[in-house]
Amino acid sequence: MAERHELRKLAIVPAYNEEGMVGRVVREIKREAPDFDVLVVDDGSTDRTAAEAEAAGATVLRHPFNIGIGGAVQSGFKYALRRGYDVAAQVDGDGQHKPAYLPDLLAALHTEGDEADMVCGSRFRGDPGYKVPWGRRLGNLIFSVVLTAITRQRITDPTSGFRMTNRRGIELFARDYPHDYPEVEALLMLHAHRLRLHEVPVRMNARGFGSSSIDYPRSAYYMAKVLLAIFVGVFRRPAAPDGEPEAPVGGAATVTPGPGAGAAGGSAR
Amino acid sequence: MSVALLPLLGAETLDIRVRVAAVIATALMLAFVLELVRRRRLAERYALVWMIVATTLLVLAIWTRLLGLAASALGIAVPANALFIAAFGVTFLLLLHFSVITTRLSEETKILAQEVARLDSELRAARGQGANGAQPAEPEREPSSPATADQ
Repeated sequence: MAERHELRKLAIVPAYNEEGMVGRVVREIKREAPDFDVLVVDDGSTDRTAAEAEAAGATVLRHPFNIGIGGAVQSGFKYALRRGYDVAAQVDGDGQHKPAYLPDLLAALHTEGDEADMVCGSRFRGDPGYKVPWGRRLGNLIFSVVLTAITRQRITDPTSGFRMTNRRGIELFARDYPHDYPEVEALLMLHAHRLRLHEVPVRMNARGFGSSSIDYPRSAYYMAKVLLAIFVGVFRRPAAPDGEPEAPVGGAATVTPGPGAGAAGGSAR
Repeated sequence: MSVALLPLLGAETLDIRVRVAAVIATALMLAFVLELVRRRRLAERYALVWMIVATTLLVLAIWTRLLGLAASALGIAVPANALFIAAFGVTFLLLLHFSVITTRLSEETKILAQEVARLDSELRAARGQGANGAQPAEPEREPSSPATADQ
């Protein structure tokens, strides 16, 4: 109800060799959520991902080589911080996330107002939209139980990368973002920094190209790694102290969207 | 190193052939490390660790009694076991050390890749290339007008 038009919103699309898909994702975001700027982070693709994204009208950051999903998403948050965005969403470049839900996430971020700093799209608060493989469900369930216990808040889909965060989340993740499989650890960081999480039911598509069969040894390793990260993470020293990040772009007032806050933090270099 | 000298340094506990072999091997290792440093293939700060390891092994190979003394001081019956334990400990610490270095390097590499991507994007924008040429130059544009989004 309050005027939110002044908020600057960014959709971060991490993409690694997503030729044939990334262009579709960009166009769909522009169609379903036209008030979002689209940033594709091309994480060292060897195909035409960057060109395709650019042709579809996205701004493109090109990593010189592949540094992994965590580094790619963090690149997006750094960009959002530099350019003074108030809201940043992650929409995977493989087409799994449906941009049509962006307005839902945004609405939750806003109606929650002072209660949510990040909104996660959850497959498990309703119909997932596709048949989630049992291995993935099981892994997700384990993380869900552990995270729910740690955060004392019901988290149903901790591996979902379909997320949206406000200025506080942007500042946090621009400073420090987990590495290989960052979704679960990012939730812990959020909790450790007293930022608040809210889940919204969404449907997703099955992952873009084939291989829905999971690589079992690898996912076992993944489970072990993330569980270790969870237990270490509880005691881990934060990479950067709380407070002002380097090179703030004059947007301190936009942390919580207040009435008539000067939301468009100047970002000119 | 004359073989005739070795018995003077003590300890008949070890077969002379083993000792000669050990001395030659450790001397070669030391020489190899020095050569790597000389060719700038190995930075001094890492070479130092290896040179300490090689020198220690060389000293132990020549002065066998030292190992026996150290072993009995620690209450280890067989001197060779003291050597194994020490070697294992040193190896473990070195590997851990390299894991720490690798972690730091990959973190730095990640930041460099992100910075390169940023500079590349800003450079292309400044040159007005690409579909998003002018976009970043106008950060204050009105997001409420959807006209800018679709073309």
